[in-house]
Amino acid sequence: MNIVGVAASNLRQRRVRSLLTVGGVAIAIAAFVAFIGLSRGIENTLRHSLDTRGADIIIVESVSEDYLSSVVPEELVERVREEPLVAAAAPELDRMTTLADGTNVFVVAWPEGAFGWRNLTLVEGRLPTTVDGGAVVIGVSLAERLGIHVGDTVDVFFSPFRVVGIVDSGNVINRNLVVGLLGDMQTLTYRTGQATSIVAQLSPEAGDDGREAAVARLRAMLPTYTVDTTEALISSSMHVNVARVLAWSISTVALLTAVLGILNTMTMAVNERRREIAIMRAVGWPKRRIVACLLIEGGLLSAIGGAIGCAAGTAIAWTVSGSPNVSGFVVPDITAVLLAEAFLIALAMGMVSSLVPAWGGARQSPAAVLRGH
Amino acid sequence: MNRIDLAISAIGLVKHYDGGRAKALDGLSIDVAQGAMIALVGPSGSGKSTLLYALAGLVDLDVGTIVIEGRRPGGEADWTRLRASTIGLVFQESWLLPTLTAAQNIELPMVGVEASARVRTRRVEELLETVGMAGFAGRMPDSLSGGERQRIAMARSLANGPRILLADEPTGELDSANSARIMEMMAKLRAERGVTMLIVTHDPRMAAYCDRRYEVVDGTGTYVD
Repeated sequence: MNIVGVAASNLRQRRVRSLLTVGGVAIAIAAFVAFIGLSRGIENTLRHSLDTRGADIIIVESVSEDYLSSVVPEELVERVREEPLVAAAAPELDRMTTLADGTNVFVVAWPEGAFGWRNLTLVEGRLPTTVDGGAVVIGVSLAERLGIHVGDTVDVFFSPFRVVGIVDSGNVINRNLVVGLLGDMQTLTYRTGQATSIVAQLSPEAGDDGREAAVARLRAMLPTYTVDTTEALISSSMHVNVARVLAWSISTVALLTAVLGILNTMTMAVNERRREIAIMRAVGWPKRRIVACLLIEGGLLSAIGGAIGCAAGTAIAWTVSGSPNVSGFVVPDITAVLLAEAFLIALAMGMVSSLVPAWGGARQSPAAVLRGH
Repeated sequence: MNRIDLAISAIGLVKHYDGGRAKALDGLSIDVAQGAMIALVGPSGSGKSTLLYALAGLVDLDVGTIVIEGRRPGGEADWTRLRASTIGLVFQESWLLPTLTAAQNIELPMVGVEASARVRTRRVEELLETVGMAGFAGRMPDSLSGGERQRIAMARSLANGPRILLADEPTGELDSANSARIMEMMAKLRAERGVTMLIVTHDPRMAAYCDRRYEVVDGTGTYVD
């Protein structure tokens, strides 16, 4: 038996209380992992989606609260093309819509020949042209989910579109996209001559410095618009920020609740065991060893809760991301670093919450306790 | 006798409780020779237990000096070391840790003192044998009788081989058969190991096992035989 054995034995013998505390920590850590993983996932998925579509710079309406509500004139693209480092630019119209079966999808529209089309990998069929008169390509995951093949029809904005191709890319959003021609989508969404953004692809030799310089010049050229790199735009997106703030808020509340839970458990444990602690002192245990023993108890509870919480949070995040409402829009970003952070937070919570009761318990007068005072 | 030869020498101990309203020790002095077995007697509330806990360094004295085996403990760390090596304590109730087995309770004082698990285990087995509880190693305290628990507590107090044993009414909660067993065990320990014993008791039969009686009245005391 060693000090860890004494602590573990205390926890084993007080099983119900230990399990309830572990449960509290596990729920808090699960909430942290799930919420933070999902919010980071939303940000990463959006950024990756734009990256894989080949956009380096994006120009949106400066007064719009978020990217999807932006309205810019289509002809703005001509001014963007004046920037020397811009290799290609196109107006892009983005909308969220719900298909007839209730599936939420992201609809992207470009003019025929825009650079975005070249970054789509055709798995089957071909790209739409203006002579098709109402054609789209859809992402491979969406096609599988809806059981749609080339030649089938899909209703977008309550209008039938013929699926002429199925496309793939390395991004979950792009695999669930409906991509059509700008003119068709402008008509259907009453946005003739308008786009959500102008997306620009820089020439390969631009590099990071060139990109910053191009952004600066475009900002000077278009002072009434927001010009950003795709990373910056996503990071400052209202939706992403709301998701981030919500995730941290809920996680913080959950973590604080868990701290109070451990504090309560350890305070109760110390109060119930005042005599045991006094006995430990009486048989020659120094205060620091008693404090260490109680900290180990708190640490063990939180470590077990943390490990369970990490596993549960991962499972919850993946389950949520697979639910019909968000499927295809977010891949949880649960990395080893996030799990390590969560575990360390759990451990720190346990230790910090145990410290005050442990120190109080160790400082009590053994004689007074043993004599019943 | 030179104070250096004494197991315990306490001079002018004063302890007040309740902000000075209750006087537990009022200038009490006591010398205890090495290997002596002393009964601390006196009416309830006279200060016997306070004296015992003070001699174990568990009471913050208002005034007074305690010398253990010729050395004056300098502070809390010294007292903690003494309780882990030189001074063993037995209480009226066994107060075993309910979450530990009998063997683990006996091993408790050795944790952090004796590094070798093998040595600890062997010593626990020896002590279980000494108190007649071999075969009870894995039993939890709540499955033991009062007498059995007190014998385990006695073994715990001997875990680190103390040279001084302070006992606060060790038979107070026991029937006469178990009381006799504990008393015989303590007398045997003194005889075999030369352990100095200071025993608070109201039981004349327990006092009869001792060499001398030290009577405490109103916080002061004197040897009465």
